[in-house]
Amino acid sequence: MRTTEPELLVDQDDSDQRIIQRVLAGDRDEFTVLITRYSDPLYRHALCMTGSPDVAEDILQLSFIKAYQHLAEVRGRFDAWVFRIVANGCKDWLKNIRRSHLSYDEDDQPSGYATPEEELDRTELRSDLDIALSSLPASLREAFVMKHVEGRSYEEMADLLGTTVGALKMRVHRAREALQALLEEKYA
Amino acid sequence: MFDDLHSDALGEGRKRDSGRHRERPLADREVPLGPPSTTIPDAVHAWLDGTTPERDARRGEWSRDVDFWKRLDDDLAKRRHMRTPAHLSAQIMAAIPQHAPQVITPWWRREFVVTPSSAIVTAAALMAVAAAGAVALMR
Repeated sequence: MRTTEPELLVDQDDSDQRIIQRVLAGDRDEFTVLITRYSDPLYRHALCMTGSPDVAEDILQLSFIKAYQHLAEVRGRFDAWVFRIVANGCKDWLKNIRRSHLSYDEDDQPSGYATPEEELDRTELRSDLDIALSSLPASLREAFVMKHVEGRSYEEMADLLGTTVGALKMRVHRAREALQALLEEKYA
Repeated sequence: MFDDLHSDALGEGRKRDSGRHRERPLADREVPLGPPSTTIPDAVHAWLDGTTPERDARRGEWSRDVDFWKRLDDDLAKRRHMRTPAHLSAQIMAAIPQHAPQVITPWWRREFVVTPSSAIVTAAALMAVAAAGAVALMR
């Protein structure tokens, strides 16, 4: 199965640190560079974890505000630090809601499919996958999204989440098996 | 997580799973149930992890699993290319404080200024501590 190279793996530590120093020195607009650099993978994470574009936007906005306010406390990689803020924001949100049927607002996402029949079929799969993902425990969903949507290696996931590669493999495997059980009758 | 899965949106297989888990009342269960699951062969997991080629995963009856995940990956691929809405960056910049982030320096790194009064107070305190220590030793 093809996975994309995660954007956060790009080694930009030095330039991130320089930007952070400029922001701390009072150049507020430099923070836009960090937002632009990291918002896409973070948005995808929040969107897949919550299933709602509006909630994902809110989590991303609150996370970057928090990151700005605590920018002086960054030790090590900024991208890993801000990822943990977003991931914790998603987990807090999930704790505070009852699991419910959330699906993407289809108008928000561009369509790349050829025929209306294909489009309907794909849209149905996406909606069903969202429902199936929302039925997983947060830890399994997080591991699955990081592996299959964000394309991260198990080693990077372990680094970001502070757990072991073995535990993450187990979570991803369990998530796959749960998703297949939920969807295979309809899509196999 | 308990098995309070929605039964209205997915296929019949899912409905059957939900029904099976409802056989016993929730309070009787020793441990919370996870979502229903199936067993995926190790070879398919390995292929999904990118450590073995597709032909190895397609052996025997596993080809069906591979087809299922290839179909699912079409949707996942679309998610991989989702981008942040264009307005969000400006929205965030408008929401962050106008002033620079506060730099909090730990107390041991902070610069402190010695004034005559603080020097006298500190010296008096040190002398008091020394006197108290000497009295304690002489007893």
